[in-house]
Amino acid sequence: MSTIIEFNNICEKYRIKFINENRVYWEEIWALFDINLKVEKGEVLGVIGENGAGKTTLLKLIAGMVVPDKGSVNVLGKVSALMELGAGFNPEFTGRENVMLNARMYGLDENLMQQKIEEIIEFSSIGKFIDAPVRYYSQGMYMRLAFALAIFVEPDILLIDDILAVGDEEAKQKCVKKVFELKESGKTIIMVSHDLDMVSKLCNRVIILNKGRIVKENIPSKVIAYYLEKVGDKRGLAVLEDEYFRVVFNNGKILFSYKDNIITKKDSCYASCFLSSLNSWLSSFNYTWEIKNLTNEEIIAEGYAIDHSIAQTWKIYFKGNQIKLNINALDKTVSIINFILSLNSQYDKWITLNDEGVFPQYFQKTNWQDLRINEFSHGFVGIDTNAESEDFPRFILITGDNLIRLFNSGYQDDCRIIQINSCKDNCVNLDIGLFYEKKEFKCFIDKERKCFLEKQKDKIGIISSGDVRLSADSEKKVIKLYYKDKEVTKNEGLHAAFLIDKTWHDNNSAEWDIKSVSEKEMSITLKHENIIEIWSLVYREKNILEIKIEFENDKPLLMNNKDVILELNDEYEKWHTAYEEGEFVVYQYVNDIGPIRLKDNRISKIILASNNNQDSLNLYFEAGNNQSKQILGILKKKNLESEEEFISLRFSQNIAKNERLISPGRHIYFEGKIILDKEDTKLEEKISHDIAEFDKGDLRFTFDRGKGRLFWKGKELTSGLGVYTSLRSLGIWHDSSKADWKINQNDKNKIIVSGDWPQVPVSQIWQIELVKQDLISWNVDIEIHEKTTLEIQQISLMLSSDYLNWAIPELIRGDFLDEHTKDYDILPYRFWYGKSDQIISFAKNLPQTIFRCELNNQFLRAVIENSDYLYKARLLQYQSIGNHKLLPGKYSYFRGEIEVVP
Amino acid sequence: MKYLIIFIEKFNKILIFRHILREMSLKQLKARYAGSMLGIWWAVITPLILAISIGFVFNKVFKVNIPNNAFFILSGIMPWFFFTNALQEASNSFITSSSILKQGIFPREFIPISIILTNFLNFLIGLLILLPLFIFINVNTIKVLLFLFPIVILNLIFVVGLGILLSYGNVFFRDISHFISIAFMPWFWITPIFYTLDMVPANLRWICYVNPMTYYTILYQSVLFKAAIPPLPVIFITTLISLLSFTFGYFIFIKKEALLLKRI
Repeated sequence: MSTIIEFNNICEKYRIKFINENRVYWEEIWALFDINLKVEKGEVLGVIGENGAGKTTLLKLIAGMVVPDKGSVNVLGKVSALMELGAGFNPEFTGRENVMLNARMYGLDENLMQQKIEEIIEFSSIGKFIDAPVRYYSQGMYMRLAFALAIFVEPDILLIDDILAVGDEEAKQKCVKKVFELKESGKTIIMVSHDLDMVSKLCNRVIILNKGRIVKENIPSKVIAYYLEKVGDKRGLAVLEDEYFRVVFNNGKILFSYKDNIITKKDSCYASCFLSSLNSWLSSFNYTWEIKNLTNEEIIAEGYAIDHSIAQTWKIYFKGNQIKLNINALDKTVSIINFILSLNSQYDKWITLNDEGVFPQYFQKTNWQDLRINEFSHGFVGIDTNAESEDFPRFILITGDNLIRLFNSGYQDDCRIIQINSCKDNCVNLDIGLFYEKKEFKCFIDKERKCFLEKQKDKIGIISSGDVRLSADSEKKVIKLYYKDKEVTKNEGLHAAFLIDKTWHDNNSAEWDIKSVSEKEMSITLKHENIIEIWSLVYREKNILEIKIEFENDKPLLMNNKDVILELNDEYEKWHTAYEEGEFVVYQYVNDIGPIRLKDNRISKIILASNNNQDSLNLYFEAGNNQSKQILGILKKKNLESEEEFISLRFSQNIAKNERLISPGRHIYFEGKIILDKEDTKLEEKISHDIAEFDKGDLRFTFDRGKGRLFWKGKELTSGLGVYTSLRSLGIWHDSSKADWKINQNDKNKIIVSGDWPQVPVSQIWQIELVKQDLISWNVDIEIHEKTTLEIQQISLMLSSDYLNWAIPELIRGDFLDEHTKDYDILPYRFWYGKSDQIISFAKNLPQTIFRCELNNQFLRAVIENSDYLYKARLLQYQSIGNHKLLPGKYSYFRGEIEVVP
Repeated sequence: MKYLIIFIEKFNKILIFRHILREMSLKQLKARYAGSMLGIWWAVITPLILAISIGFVFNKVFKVNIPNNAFFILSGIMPWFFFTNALQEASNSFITSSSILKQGIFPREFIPISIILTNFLNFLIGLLILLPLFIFINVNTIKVLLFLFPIVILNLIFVVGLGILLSYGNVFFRDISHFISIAFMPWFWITPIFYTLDMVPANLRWICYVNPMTYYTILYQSVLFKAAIPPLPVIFITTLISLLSFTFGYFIFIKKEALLLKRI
């Protein structure tokens, strides 16, 4: 490394004539005094200092424009000086002419002139204006051209006197980039600038000149820290030191540095107030500051507004390993006051009392990116750095009730931003704890977390067993399940919902009171207006959570719905019940709710299986009471706020009409189990219901809870819902399979059953009789209990998809196409509709099936269609449509027969 | 002795940067006439018009009897214009081109020198264009044309020396440029441009002899107008004057250059 610039004891003085009214006197001012400096080849040296410090004189000495008074300057190599832009430009000449005429003067090499001129013209990107007189140029164009000319000279030594500050953003970027290129190619550059950011990025070494002397000389980060401290109105400048940690208060800004490394960045730390009178934000560094008190431990500063009224007071002091900061806004019109810290991007981890994370990569240029930790902050945030070394201390910020927000700045500013919002009291109190060792840091955080959890205990009840944990939050009013600290539930978690009169009650409409009985047992009371829910949650055996919900009422109530809902994370792929299995695939979403359809939802148990790996497991949910009356609904829902999907399992109890009135007292609402298990077991439903059947010859008929099934020679002819009826009332379909059935009579040839529809005040009585071989008669009577509207009354025979053809005798024949709609119940594939009293269906290996009816009703029509995707079966139906407002009474619904013809 | 070394160093530097000097002069010449329609023709028109008008007035009004008056005057007036313009501009040069000083690294004296050179080129072009006219008047002019070269060079050296001195002085005493502009008036009168020496009464003739420009004027007139070999003693004197002016001017400049640099 050779020295190419050398200053030896340089002194430079100017004799300046001072003229003041009548007095004229001369004074000698030392521009530079005793300067000793060596610059190596390829080095980029930054020169900073206040105005009048002697920076330009230094450059002039290198350029040879000034002769030293004392001492010597040795310069090796060609020097080009960029001290004034556009020197020698004549406004009458065009840009090109100006470049060509001045090229030699700027020092452009003779041989390369032509090529360089082209490069210059291109770099300046003036376009066709290069051939227009310079007189017409805008300042930006002028600057670009002048800079291009000056910089393409490619001297060995380049002197830049603060000219990079002029021009628009794009021009500046280009210029900086070019300077970088020159640096890469080994040119020596001496740079005078007031843009400290640029200096820190470009320079290898920086010197500070103050009143003609070199005050500091070091690597950029250290020198700039020193400079920032010194620059500014002295009255508002104060420094607190604690060993290696420095806090510098500089006129409304605070800078932190540790061992000469600057920790704060760009705008450092300042306060910002929202003045409601001006409807705008005002930053603390816009005030005029005065240090009122400065001791070894504290700084008290006062900031004044333009009208000299006192606007803010700051108090900064050390206490132990903490820096305590107290900012008070005395201006009455201040409604919000924020304190903003900008930290070096070394700090990339944040830790709160119940969460932790990383500052992500910068991805925007200038906008801040909100990390959204607001709700979790609780006035406590730890900031950690990735560096292993002890060069950067770790911070813990504690600020009482104030809200802490974390941001990532844009990549241009390249810093982490912590914002403390104070919405009341116009005052910000912040304790910044400094931790130099990682261990101490972790210990402190763990301790605080424990304390926090303790405090939360009253509000949160926790029971656990092994890896599973249940937490009930009385503030948020939600019960959550965790497996290995990862939340299994979602949204509202586990809760009950019931309909009393016309109002729905759920977990949110009650007052919660949690009593933790033991580590494995918890009791929660939810007080609603007229009713008290009493929950008992116990981990009796290993992973099995036993749930018992009772309720107490002191007045008689009409409870129309008794539901228990478990909302889970969308991490399950398959589910299976005792009767079927399926996947969590939704064909149609309505209002962000997607139903998973079950063929048989009268179940009390379900297992959900997840697809992947170790940490997720099968979930077993069981409704223990009233098992035969439980109906399970599975939905996939979307949380409107977070747009995340979750699964909702809902056990609803099919309450008979006469059981809805609840007398005062204590009653059982629900008993069930949730097991987070790894085993995928087969499920069985206790069949506490009866099946009616008769059997003659090859034909067999069974009736099971509203669904009839036909068998011939052992093969089933029906499928899905089989022999069933449907009612449509007020737009909703009610199948016979949803009703409550009682078997009244079951003989060798005859079955009489009666069913009560829970949702519609209707009952049906079926008589199914084997009239002769292969012929069954089917009669249905309907009893209306209350005035109700039935739009459609249907009788259906759902046959298996082996049936390929259909016919209406003496009229038309057709095929069953293999298309089943994905839409539930909307316009299924209809093949024929009309008035007929016979429908015949054919299959290859199965007997012909004839469905006949007595046309006792003029509205009765025959329908031949395909069912939807769930059943994938053939439908032979008779239906009567019309807005039938029916009065209570008994009516004949259907008279017909089913014949099997082999 | 020390100064000699410095002088040689200076000379070296000038040699290295000579291209810059050339460029600067050319640029300034172009700049002078940038945007004007007649351009370089002004170098011809100005002296021509002035010569004709003065000739006319002096012939008809003052009854100065010189055959081909206009040409006589013309031959003397063109170098005079060069002299005055060059010095006027040179004296201001350090002040007007301060920006150029900040940009380039070249010998400082280039600034006044380039200005003078610009004017010199201007003068030469005008002379060259009008030369055919002189030949037309007196064919014999061709024979003595060769003598123009040394005359012109000597003239240049003289002006350069004086120019450097004045430009330097003006930085410290701004009055100098004002003084010069006025001083040229009487200086014009005491230079035998529009009259011949013998027309001056003998007792006042010494004023003309003291004026250095007299001798240059005589040389120009002898070659261009009289078409005669310039008188040897005059050549000798002009050489002396030129060398003196140049060395003195440069000497002062070199000595006080440091001081100058701080002022500009």
